[in-house]
Amino acid sequence: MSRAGFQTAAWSWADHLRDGGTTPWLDWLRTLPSDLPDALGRGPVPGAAQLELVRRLALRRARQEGDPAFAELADRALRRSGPGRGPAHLSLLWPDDDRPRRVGAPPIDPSGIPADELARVGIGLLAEVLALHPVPAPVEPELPRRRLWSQAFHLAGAPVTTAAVRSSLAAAGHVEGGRRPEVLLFAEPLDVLLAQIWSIRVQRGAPVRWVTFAGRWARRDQLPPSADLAVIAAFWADRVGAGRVHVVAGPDPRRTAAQILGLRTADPVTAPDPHSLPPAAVDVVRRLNRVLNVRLGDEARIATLRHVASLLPEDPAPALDVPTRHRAWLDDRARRVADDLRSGGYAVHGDLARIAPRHVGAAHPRNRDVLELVLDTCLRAAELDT
Amino acid sequence: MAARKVLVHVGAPKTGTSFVQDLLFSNREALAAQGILYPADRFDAHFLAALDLMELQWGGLEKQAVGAWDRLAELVRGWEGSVIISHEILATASPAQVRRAIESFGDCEVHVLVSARDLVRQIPAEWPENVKHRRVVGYRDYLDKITEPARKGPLASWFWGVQEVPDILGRWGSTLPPERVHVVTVPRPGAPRGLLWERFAEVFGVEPTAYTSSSGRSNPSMGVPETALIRRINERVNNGVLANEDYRQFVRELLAHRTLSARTDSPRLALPPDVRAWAVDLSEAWIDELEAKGYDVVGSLDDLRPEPAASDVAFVDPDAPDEADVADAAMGSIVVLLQEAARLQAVEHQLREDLHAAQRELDTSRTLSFRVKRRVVHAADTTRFVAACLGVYRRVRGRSSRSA
Repeated sequence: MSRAGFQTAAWSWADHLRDGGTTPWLDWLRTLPSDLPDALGRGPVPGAAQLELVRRLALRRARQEGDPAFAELADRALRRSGPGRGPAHLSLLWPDDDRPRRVGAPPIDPSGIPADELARVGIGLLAEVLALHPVPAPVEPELPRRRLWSQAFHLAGAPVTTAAVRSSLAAAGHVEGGRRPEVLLFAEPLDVLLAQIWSIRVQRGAPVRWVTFAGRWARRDQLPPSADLAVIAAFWADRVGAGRVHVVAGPDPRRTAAQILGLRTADPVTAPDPHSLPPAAVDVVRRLNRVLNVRLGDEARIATLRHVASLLPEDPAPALDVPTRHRAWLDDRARRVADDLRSGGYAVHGDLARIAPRHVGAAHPRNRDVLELVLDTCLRAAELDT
Repeated sequence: MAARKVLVHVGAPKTGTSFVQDLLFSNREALAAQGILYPADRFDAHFLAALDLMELQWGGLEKQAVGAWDRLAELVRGWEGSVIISHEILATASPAQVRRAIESFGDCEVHVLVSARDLVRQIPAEWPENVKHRRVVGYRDYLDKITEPARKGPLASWFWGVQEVPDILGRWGSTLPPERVHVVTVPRPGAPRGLLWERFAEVFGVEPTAYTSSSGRSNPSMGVPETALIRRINERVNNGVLANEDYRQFVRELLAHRTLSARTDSPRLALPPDVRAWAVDLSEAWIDELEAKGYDVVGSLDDLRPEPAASDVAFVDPDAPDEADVADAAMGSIVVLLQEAARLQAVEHQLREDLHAAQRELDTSRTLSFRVKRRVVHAADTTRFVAACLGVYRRVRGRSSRSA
């Protein structure tokens, strides 16, 4: 079939997708009517990845034909390319064209494009949509002053857990600080703890993959400072005495904290920062960091990241596991940490065996889950229903 | 009045691009006096602009690239004569990124230039570039990835993005008439020195003898044992052992560029016979494609036809190098690193002395009241009564005076 035939078919499919259609490309070709308008004047056919991205966006919505807002989002997707490293352009497969190609990547059936590549293209679209609705830099809330006579306490340990407990106490009017505080050190299984730290670093702008992050610490045979519970406990024991250091190793840290301190907690009005994001959501933020780092200055980037985190679902489980080759190392580190905590003379609430890695999560976020979140977040950021 | 013209040199890597960029940068004032703008306030200005255009991460350097393309485009629009932009990573720009770039230049005549060398020389030259950027991929693994027809994975997509000359020109030149798409071919080995610059100069519209390179900056090539050494170093220093900025300074610059590339008598990287045959075949396809497009070729498309393999030079496998050669390269590297460590230690000693002198001078110039306040703050760290008094003082003052 002729180039004109290809152009006509491809643009008719693009129009179908812009309209909210979800028919795959090869199925579209099988049902192609013969009276389509000529499309030769419409310019180059969009890339296969861009077209497939629009189709996947449409699949995430309840079908709403002729939605101009979706068409606008689709047009943005079709006009731009994936950011960073990846194929410059993937041509749409035209089954009737069996000429040998010596130049360019082989044409592709869009439904066969890997989720990772579609996520890359989708991240570019998300960054662009976010730029259309810039968010002001968050105003840090003024912390209430501590009353002189209030219980002095300090929270440390697993950062996402700590942030959640801090928010709950603050919501009930209890402010961290004071001289010679009771120190609450929140312990989690070490793989969960590492994943929390990775999540925070990514939410603060780091573009590092989970596998690379875990591998770095394993190779150094070190834990990130905020994960080295034994060192943190020893630091505070030096200042306030071992008797004032409480290791919280139970399943309900908020309740345990309230009991130890004799304080109420309350549900916070806003989500604690950092957010408790599932691994795929953290990976969305990680990929976005790669683009935002080159698009935005620090202040705008931080504001955008906070906004994106609020668009992503909060889901506490399951965390990631370290890659298999690092499991023995992590098990050994957990044993050493537990031994040090046990012998430190601290008040232990719960079972220190809880620090042992669970090894139940995946070794890395799944590309398929990441892609779904990218699609949903694009739609949410564009204020379209999913 | 001459039409406003922008010439974008988009690649390919390892075709003299570093030499040309150095020459343009170091002669930018003289060029401007001739009506030719090379808009760069720093050597890597066009590199940063390219990172911005393509939203490309580059080991932390991308943070310096925010807004760089728009700033470059503004300079282009503000110049009445000719402008030259040059960086080889622009080769990988997508059609959308190319469109943005060309639109950003405003109303002017856009030309695109690719400098090209034959594939049999290009493919082995690209692997050390991967290795110098922390990759640990072996040579055979690299060759398998780039010759695989589906081109899966980041290594293959980058290779083809920066090396596939007809495709690069297809993306950058799709809206341009063929006479504004230029191919400068790298002369064959043994050609007169300076011929490559003459060809570039012809496209740039400058007199080649009027401009010379001052720094001699180039992108020299490592041989087989040197590249194998850097790859092994990568295996040890990746994954958090050596930060990117330290890697750039010590491994890439000090070892790879300034030390190991000077070892020109070691075995050179080449293609094994099976890949060589594939590359020769592909080269013919590219020559046919470029000829059919009618681009402006400066040099000859015959330069892209690989020379016959030298019968007296056997393929030396970088995945199984002569260990004595690698050890020798490693010894040379250790000596250089020791010399650099000694130099840096001397600098540190001097800085410490300067700092102590400055502190002594500051202390003697400070007033008695400041010295008293500082003593009180130090005492509060160890004496509860003093700490309590200080706490009351701070609350009454209504601010933290922790800076005292």
